[in-house]
Amino acid sequence: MAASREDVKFLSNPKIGLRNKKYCRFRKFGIKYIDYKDSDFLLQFINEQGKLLPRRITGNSLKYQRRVSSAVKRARHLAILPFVADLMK
Amino acid sequence: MKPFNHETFFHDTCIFRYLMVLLRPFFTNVLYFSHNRLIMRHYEVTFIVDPVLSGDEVKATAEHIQKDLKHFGATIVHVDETGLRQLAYSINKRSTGVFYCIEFGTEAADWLVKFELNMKRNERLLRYLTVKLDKFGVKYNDDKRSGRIGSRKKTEAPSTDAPVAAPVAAAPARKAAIPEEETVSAPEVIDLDA
Repeated sequence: MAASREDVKFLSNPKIGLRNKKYCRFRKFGIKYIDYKDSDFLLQFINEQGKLLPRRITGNSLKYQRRVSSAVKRARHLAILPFVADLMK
Repeated sequence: MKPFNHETFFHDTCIFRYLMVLLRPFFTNVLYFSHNRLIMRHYEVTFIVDPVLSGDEVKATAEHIQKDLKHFGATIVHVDETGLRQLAYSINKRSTGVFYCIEFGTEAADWLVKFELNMKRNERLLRYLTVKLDKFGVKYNDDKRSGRIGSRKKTEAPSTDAPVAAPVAAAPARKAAIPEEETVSAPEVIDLDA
């Protein structure tokens, strides 16, 4: 009896090992300017301790990671974001 | 490629220098003219006023800053009064502050140092930050004011592509010129320190 694709049951998820292609969201959506006053947006790029997330996690290109970094640092200067925190998110 | 010949090289450079010496007056005119052409440069100053002051005094401080700017010859594009806001850490034992953001443009910008010095001396300001806005920053502020950039929604509702002048409420993604495929289900943010 021929087993169709739906009949086959796997022990582990067939999608395991597949990786979503990481991309830089700024290049993809054409965002050129990162506002330092916008804490909600910048929360995406810091972890729950308030530290900046590395580029290999967020997927940013180097150019935009630097802009993000300087925006976060400006926000920290203006007390829009903390320098040190815990349970930020 | 011609082989490097000492004689012709010297000859060539001499000619070039000779020409430059002759034409330098014209070039300096051009340079001077382009320098003098007065490009409008845009800046943004964000400052935090002490919250213990009365409302009138806070307003007076902001007015004073604006008057200072006008005195220096800047054209004020926009004054954004974000108002009382919680600070992420305490500054001078205060946990809140009144935020103001003034966007202005100016041509000759050497007075900015004096302006910042004035702000530093002002006891009513807790913090200040002056930023030069590039063309993308100017455009962003413009779009933000006219409503073309939506604010982030907490829930990610699927939306169609948002044209530039679309109503803002539907757009979970922030910026204009969004392609058809929706949001960034962003690559998962793994907390390394968790």
